[in-house]
Amino acid sequence: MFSVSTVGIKISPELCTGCELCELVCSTYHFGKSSIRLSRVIVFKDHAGAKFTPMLCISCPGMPCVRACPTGALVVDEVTKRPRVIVEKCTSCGDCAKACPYNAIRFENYVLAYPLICDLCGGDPQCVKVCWPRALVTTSDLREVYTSAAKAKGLIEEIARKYRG
Amino acid sequence: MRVVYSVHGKILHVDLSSNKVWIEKYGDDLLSRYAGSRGIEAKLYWDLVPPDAHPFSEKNVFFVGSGTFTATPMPSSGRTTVAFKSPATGMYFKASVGGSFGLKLKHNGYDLIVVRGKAEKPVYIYVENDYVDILPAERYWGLDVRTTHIELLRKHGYESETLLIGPAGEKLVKFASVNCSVYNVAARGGGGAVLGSKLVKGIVVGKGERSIALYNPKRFLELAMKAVYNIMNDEALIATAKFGTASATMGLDKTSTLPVYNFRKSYWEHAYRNAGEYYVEAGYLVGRVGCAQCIVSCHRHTKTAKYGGVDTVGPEYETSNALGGNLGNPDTDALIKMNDLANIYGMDTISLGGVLGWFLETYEKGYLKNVAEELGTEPTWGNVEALLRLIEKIARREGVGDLLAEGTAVACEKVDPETCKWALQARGLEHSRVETRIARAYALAFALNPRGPDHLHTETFAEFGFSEAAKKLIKRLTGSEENAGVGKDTGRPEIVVWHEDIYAVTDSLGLCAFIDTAGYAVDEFMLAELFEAATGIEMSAEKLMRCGERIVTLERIIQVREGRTRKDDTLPWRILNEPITTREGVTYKLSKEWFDVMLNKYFTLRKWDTKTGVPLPEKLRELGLDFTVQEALKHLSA
Repeated sequence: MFSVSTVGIKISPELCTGCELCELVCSTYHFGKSSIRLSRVIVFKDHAGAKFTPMLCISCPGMPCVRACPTGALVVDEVTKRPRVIVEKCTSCGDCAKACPYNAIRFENYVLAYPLICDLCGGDPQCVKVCWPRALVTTSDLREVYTSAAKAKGLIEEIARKYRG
Repeated sequence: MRVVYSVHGKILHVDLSSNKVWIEKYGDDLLSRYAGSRGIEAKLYWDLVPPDAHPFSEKNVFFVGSGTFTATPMPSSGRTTVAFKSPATGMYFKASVGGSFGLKLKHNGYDLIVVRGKAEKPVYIYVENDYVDILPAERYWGLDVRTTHIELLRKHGYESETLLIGPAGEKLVKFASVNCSVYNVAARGGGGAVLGSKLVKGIVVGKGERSIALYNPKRFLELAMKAVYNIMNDEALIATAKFGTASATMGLDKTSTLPVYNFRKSYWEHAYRNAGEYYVEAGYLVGRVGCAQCIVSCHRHTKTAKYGGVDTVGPEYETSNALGGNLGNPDTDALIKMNDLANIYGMDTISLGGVLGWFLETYEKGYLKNVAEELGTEPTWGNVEALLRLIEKIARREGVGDLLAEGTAVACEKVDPETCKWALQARGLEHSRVETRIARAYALAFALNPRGPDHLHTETFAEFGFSEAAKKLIKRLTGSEENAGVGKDTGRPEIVVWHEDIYAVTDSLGLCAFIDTAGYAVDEFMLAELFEAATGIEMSAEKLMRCGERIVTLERIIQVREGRTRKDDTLPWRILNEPITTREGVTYKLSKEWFDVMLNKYFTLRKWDTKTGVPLPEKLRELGLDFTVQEALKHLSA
């Protein structure tokens, strides 16, 4: 366990093997149901090019998602300093997911009426525990968190371009 | 029928002839008896595929099913099993495949898909939750697997997943594969040709919005976490993760169990060129690739600038050997290119290597001399140029490729029955890349295997005793650690029986065989606990192994119905008749007497008839396979 306000998860796209176990563990841990659609960590995959990367909320400076929320349903948690959803206030507009520069918010309103944002499992992230390839590791160096997420973001955009219809 | 967890209890039937789609529901009735995909498919096969159905007729059925643990947080359990009547063997055939297809299939709310009938023109099947459609595929027909995957994902969204055939499947190459997520291949037996004969390019599953409910999610997650820990600490799996399946090459070379030059030698001076360690060291490795849920991630993402530039996944151990040492080819760049061609054209690399090995030896011995002119170069051992051209020709069935596309068994008969002596096949399937004259549990397992002489049905890797865990297992199965070791030939029936049963369970659960029969991260006791927490069906290790026995026995009786007898429990001519000498000069030969003793012992352990190999009625009844008793009696009296 660690204090979630001072530690983050470093993403290494070059180490991700696209197995998606992190997603299934995340959803089962939080919801008792297994589904990649209920996961707060998102794996982006390009099977044809054998390139993969996980992505999750890195609690980026300025928190554009919180600012984008029109109803005040998204707040900065006082303890964790991370975005937190107040489910009752959420109107499922999806503006937060659109505002996220990292594609790190899962919002699929046909599955769930509110966005899913990583909460670091309260300090014991389950995805990190199962990631043997070490594409996800915890670190206290926040700069590392941001630079690694920027790299992952680049790959996500590359994959999106490749598969754009 | 009681509702169960971890699966949806839904089988999607797609009839291409009548253009109809319907859902069949099941519950604990099937799951508690057959454990999951492979078992359920065998039962459906018994019900749906008549024994006289031609593999390419509309009577043949193609089954695809995700494992019971697929799409759950259980590591290394994302595998899918396909089943069909094989054009190579003319009998029931199952193949297991990794990738993410099974995971996505379950996210769309189905456990299995049954493809029946035949389409009039090329189609593909699209499944997204409640929406199922048969869509035209003319524009994808003829395209390679990689291109088709990208095109289809552009159309249906990049979070979709594919199961596809390549040009080889369309051309009915007898060893055409079914590819999931591009590079994960249900390779053996010609499943790709079965889909090709139905004019089906593949199945696309959408991103899906169904989640998988677990009976006791907390307990299941606990157990899954324990499995994660065990995997990370398993000696064999650590090596597999680091260097891929081709990490096996050097161990096999050292013990002279590495078949090269069409099984004429069992060690090779260039073995390191086919080794996983070399792929890393020489810089071919870009990264690792995992099947769904698999943290071991033994697939290799490789690259080479040679041969026009290749960026692909693989080669595995079997491919490295089949297209490397087997053909006297030490050129790793060429090997990567050949592996990529086989992948994107959709062909099984083991059979491809088998048929090419036979061809090179046949040519060397003075047959088919005109082929040199057709290829523009002499097809000699290690002539990469010739080999690359041959692969292209086989996939398109051009020239000599049309002959080779029929597989070794048919091709050798066509050229000259004498050449069948070095056709490394039995029952129509090319032999896997292990030296069965020395590895005797493999020998027995290969002879009994419903697929043919192949390792992915009964992986008896433990017999070598390479690790402490393996030695312990052999002691548990045979009563003595003495039975573990290279070249040992005692206690083999006991080793085979257990491995067959656990493999059937492993496939059905969607688990990878490396986790419990090559590495030893989980055993049947842990699997039973997991099964109970996942499904809500009461389960013990004994009961689970009983499911395995039931599946193995059902598969045998299916094949008995299709004409299999004890005579078919055999190995390639060369394996049975020619000795092999190790590097140290020790000669091994399989004797018919040893073989018969082992088979008799095996049949006795199984309670199958020793004379005919037909499961005895009392055994069938004991396993609850009463519906097969009539059939057994017919063949026992014959």
